[in-house]
Amino acid sequence: MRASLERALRALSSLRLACVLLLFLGLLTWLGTLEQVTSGLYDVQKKYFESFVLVHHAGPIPIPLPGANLVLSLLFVNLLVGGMLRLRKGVATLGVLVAHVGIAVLLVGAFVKHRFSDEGHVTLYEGQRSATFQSYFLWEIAILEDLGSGRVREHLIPNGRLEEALGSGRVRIAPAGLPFDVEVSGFLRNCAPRREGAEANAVDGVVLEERPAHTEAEQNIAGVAIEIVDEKDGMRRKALLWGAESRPLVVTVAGKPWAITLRHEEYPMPFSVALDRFTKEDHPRIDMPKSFASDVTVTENGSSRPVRISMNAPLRSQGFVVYQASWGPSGAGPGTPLYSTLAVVRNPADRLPLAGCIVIAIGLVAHFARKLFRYVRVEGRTA
Amino acid sequence: MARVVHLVACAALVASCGSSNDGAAVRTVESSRVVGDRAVDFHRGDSTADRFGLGASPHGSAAGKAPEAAPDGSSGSKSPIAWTTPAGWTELPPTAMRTANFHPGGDPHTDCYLTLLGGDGGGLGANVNRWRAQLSLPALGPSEIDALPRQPFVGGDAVLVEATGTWRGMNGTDSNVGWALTGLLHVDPNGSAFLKMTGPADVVAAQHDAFLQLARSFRSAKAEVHGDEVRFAPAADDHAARSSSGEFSFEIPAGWRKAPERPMRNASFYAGPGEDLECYVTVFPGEAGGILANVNRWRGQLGEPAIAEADLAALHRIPMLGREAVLVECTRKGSQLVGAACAGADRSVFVKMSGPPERVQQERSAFLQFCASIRSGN
Repeated sequence: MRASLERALRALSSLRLACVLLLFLGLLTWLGTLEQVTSGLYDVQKKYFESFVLVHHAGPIPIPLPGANLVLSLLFVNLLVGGMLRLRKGVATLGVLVAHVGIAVLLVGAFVKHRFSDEGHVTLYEGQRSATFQSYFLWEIAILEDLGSGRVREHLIPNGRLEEALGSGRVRIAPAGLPFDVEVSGFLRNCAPRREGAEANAVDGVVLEERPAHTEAEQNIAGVAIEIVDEKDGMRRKALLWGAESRPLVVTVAGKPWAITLRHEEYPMPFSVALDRFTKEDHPRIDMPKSFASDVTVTENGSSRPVRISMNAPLRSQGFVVYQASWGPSGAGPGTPLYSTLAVVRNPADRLPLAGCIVIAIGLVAHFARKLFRYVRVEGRTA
Repeated sequence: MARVVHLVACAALVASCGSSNDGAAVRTVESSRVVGDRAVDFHRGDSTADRFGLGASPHGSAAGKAPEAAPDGSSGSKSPIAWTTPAGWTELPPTAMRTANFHPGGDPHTDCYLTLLGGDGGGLGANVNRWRAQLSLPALGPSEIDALPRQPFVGGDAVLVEATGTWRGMNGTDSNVGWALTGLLHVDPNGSAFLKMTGPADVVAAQHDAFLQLARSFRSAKAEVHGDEVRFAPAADDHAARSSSGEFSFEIPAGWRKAPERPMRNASFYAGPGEDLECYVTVFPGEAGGILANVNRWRGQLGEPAIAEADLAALHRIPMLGREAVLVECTRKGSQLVGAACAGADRSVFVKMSGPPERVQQERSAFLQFCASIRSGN
C-alpha cells in the first residue's frame, strides 16, 4: 500500500509528467489558435481551455485530447507534489522554492478567475446610471413582478437552465413564490424571428428561425419558446422570447400582470456608475478615434466621487475592474448622442497574478543574486 | 436617474430536481432581487410581432389562413398595396419576402409572388441572370437585357422575362425538366418590385395573360386605377404647409418643395434651395426585409460596413408615426445620408435624405422635424 502510494506520488511529481503536460498545453494552444479560423474565440475557449476532455477533428479523424482544465489541474498537482518531494530544501534552493510558490499562486489565480469571476459590460449614454452589468454571452429569463412605487422584483432563470432546453430538451422551471411554472424548450443560441403563420411551432404567427452562430459569440441573439403553466388550473400559454425584443411579454396570472423577458445575464455591482461625460477625439480628417474616455460618478456606501475611465486607466473597486472598452453607435453622424461601453470584470483573484509575479520575481532575484554572489566570491579567491 | 439595487437574494439554487407529467425535467429556481428603476409597462399587451419589431401581418389575416377576398374580387388586405387576384388562382398567406403569394390556376406546383425590396436588389442584370440560372440557362449580356420587352408594373416600366428550361430551384437542388418562368422586374435604387411565376411550362403558358393582368392590378390600397396606369399614392401638395401623401399627412419644412414623382416613392422633396439634396418617403407593406437589412443597405450605399442586431438596438431613435424610428446617419466619400426607418403596424416607412455633407447638415433639423410631423391619415 505504502509502495503504491510512493509510486503514485513519484509519477505525479515526475519531470516527465511536467514535460508531457507542457507539451499538451502547447498543442492545445496551437490547435485552439487554428480553430479560431472557423470558430469564434468564445467557442474555442470553451472547447480547448475550459474543458477536461475534448475531441479534435483532424479532417475526418476524431482525436480525443485532454482539455486545458485537466492539464492545468495536473500541472498544479505536479508542481505542488514535485515541490514537496523532489525539491531540495535549504538556503541554496530557497529562491527556486519561492519561484515555484509564485507559479502555484498564478495557477490558483487562474482557477479562481475561471470558476468564480463574472465578465460583462455596462453601456451608458450621458446622464444614465447603472448598478448592474450584463454578460456578453450568457442569457437569462427575467420574470418581473410589479411591487408598486416603481419597484420591481426580478425572478431569474439563469443561462444554465436555458442550456438544458437546447435542441429537443425541455425543462420546467418552478420559480419560488410565483403562481406559475415556466416550461422552457427550443432554446436557440442565435436566431431571428420570422412571420410565418403556417408552421406548427408558430406562436402568434411568428417563428424563431435558427441562424448559424457568429464567430464573435457576443453578436448571437438567443431565443426560446416558453409555456406559462398556471399552478391553479394547469392552463398553459405559449409564447416566444427573443434576445432583441423591444418590449417584454406581459401576461396576467392570478389576477396580476407579470412581464417576462429574455436578456443577457445581469450581475449587480456594489457601487453605481453614472456617465457624466463621454469624450472621443478623432485623428485629424478621418473618422478613426485617437482616444476616448468616460467621466463617471461612482457612488458607493452613500458617497460619490468623480472618476475618469480611459483606455489604460480602469476603475478598480471592491474586486471589480471597470475598463473603457468601446463606444457607439458606429458611424454616428455629427450631433448624434454617443454611448460609452465599459467592460466590467468581477474577479475575486484580481490581484493574484500580480502577487504571483512579484513572488516569482523575488524568488528568481534571490536565486540569481546568490549565484552571482558565489561566483564573485569564487573568482575573488582564484584571483 | 438614480438606480437603487436592493439585493434581496441572488443565489441561483437548484433546490429540487424531478420530472413533470409531460417528461420535462423540473427545476426550482430561487433567485430574485428587487430593483428600483426598471421602467416596465405592466399593462401593455403587445403581440409577438410587435415585440419583435416585425409589425403585424401585412394582411392582418389570421395565422395560417388565406386573406379573404373582397366582394368585388379585390384583395381585402389592409396592406398599402392592393391587387385583383385572377380567377381560378389560389391566394396564399404572405411571408416575410412575399408580399403577395399565389398558386396560379390553383396548381400547387406553380408559384407566383410579389417581392418588394427597399433598394435595387442587386440590379436588373443580376436578377435577370439569377432567374435564368434557376432555369439552368446561360446569362444574358447587357445588350440582350436592354432588348427585353417592357410592361407597366407598379407605376413604372418593368422588364418582362420569359424562359423555359430545367428548374434548379432557389437553392439549385431541384431538377424539374420542362419548367418555365415568367417574371417582371422593376428595379430602382430607391425601391424595387419583382413579380415572378414559376412552374410546369404548360401551366405557366396557360396563366400568362392572367399573370400580366395581375401585374397591372397592383396599386396603392387607397389610390385610383386609371386604365393601365397605377400609382402607389397621390403626390404631395406642392404648396400646402400641411400636406398629405395618400395615407399619411406631414408638414413640409420651410424652404422645401416637391420633387418630381418617382416610382416606388410616396413623396419626394428638394430639401432647401437647389436640387442637390432630395428627401423622400417610401412605404412598403410588412417588414420589407427588416429594419436591419434596410439600415445596412443604406450604410452599404455609402461604403460603410454592415452592423449587427445589437448595434441596431443602440442606434438613436426619433419619433415618427407615433412610434420610434431608427435614425441612421453616415458620412463617407463626400456624401452624407440621414435616414429614418420605422416598422409600423402593417407597413414599413422609410424617410431618407442624402447629398453633400454640408447641405445635409443644413437641413438635418428640418429632416428631423419633417419625420416627427408624419402622421397616419389625412
